[in-house]
Amino acid sequence: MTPAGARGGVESRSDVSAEFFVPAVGPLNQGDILIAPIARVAAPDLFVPDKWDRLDQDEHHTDRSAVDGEDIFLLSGRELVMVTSHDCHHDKEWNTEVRRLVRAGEAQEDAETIAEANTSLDRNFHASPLVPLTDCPADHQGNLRAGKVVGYFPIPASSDGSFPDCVVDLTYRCTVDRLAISNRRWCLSQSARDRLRYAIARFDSFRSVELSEQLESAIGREITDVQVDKGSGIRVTLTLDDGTTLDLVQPPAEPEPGGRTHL
Amino acid sequence: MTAHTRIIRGKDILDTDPASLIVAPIEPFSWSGTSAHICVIAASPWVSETRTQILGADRTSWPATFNEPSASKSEEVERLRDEISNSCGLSRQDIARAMGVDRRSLSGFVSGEIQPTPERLALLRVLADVATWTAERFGKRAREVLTADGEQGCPLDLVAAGLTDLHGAVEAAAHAAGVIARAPVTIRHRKHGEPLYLRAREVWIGRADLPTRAGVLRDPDVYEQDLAEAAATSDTRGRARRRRKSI
Repeated sequence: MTPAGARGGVESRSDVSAEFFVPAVGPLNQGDILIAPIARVAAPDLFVPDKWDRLDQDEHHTDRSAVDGEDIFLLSGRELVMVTSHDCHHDKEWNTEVRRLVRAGEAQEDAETIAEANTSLDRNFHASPLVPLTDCPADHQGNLRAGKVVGYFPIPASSDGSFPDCVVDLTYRCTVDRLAISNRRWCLSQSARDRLRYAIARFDSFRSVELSEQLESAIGREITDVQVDKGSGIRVTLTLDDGTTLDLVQPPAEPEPGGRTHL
Repeated sequence: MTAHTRIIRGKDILDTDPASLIVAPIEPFSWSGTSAHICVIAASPWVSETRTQILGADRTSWPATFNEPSASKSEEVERLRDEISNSCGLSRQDIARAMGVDRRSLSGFVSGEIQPTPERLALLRVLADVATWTAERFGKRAREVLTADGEQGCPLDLVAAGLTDLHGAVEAAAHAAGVIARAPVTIRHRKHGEPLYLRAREVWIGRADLPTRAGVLRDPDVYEQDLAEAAATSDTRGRARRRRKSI
């Protein structure tokens, strides 16, 4: 099962790839692409969806009859993953420790050095595996490639041919020890990282992240016009004094006895 | 060094019977025993005999050789005794057992009537370390674990015998005491598609790296949240969804 395009040349994909990826350098970053072991908890039937066939390389069965009788089943493997934890997460404990050391009397520079040498800090991060588009259902590939499916973040094939067109499968997220990773090469460009963050927020909270920002910016403005969508009867467009508009949607409700639904 | 031990230096080690050699910590005493803190000593008959008795001659144990502590011995014994009692509830009888003495001798060490030998003091320090992490690992059942007979023996007796690498022995004792149960694991390689990483690893040879460990100083606010702000994201517009009848 070789992913389509994985062994192809570097022709037209390079332009797209150059916009999307930059070489990964320095500390761990959100959007880094690297090789890491991954695992997920499974049911006793060890069911593997087609799209995860490459990921689930080993089956683990922990016999807990001597403990509580509830056996545990895992599927694990090693794969290309994208770091999804925010950059702040990767030095959270380091920051706490530096502050503690400084309060204890260490010089700032010494405190940072001591904290950096402490291998117990900031050990874990979240990552999601790369899944070739060709491993996803054929009728979904178009929407997946266009980034329209919540829970998936599409990335183009790498210019060096190391991976084909993929989606970062946010529905498979695992906690990885940073000391267990190997071979980091690429990271998302800034604009691509913005899109990744949107995809993560959209998936985790499952709502538009724009909503609160739009409402905040409207506070204090005067409404200059109101338009009601006569077709559906549930959409209202407010025009504000700065020319911007807000689309409000009334939840559908039972009609009144007269058959009319009030806005 | 004490009368029971002799430091072996340089090539002299080649002329010494390996069965009588023991790796031992030197000051400052370190539980984990980094290479900077160990030396090789010729063991006393007491240590060799006990080690062979407990483990067989092929195992390495760490009897102790120490300089004098800065505090008085009686003060240190009292402090460690109380730490051990508080952390895992070992009785004075238990502590004395791990030191290889009786309870009256332990009381004598504390009162200053009897001077503990450096070896006895070292055993108490080891016990304090073992007690600390056993308490962290097993909580209120720490004493039960330390007094249980595992595959290698009772941890208290192993401390008295001069062992310091006791993690395995304590786990075995916990298992014997029924505090933990070991679960056998079966791993089976399944037939699967070719993972992407194989190709990437091949392409990235010599070009991939590992992240550096350099933190970025951030404002503490970055790591704080105010859950009261959650109201701003309240999802009261949720549409009724068709739900699964069963899982």
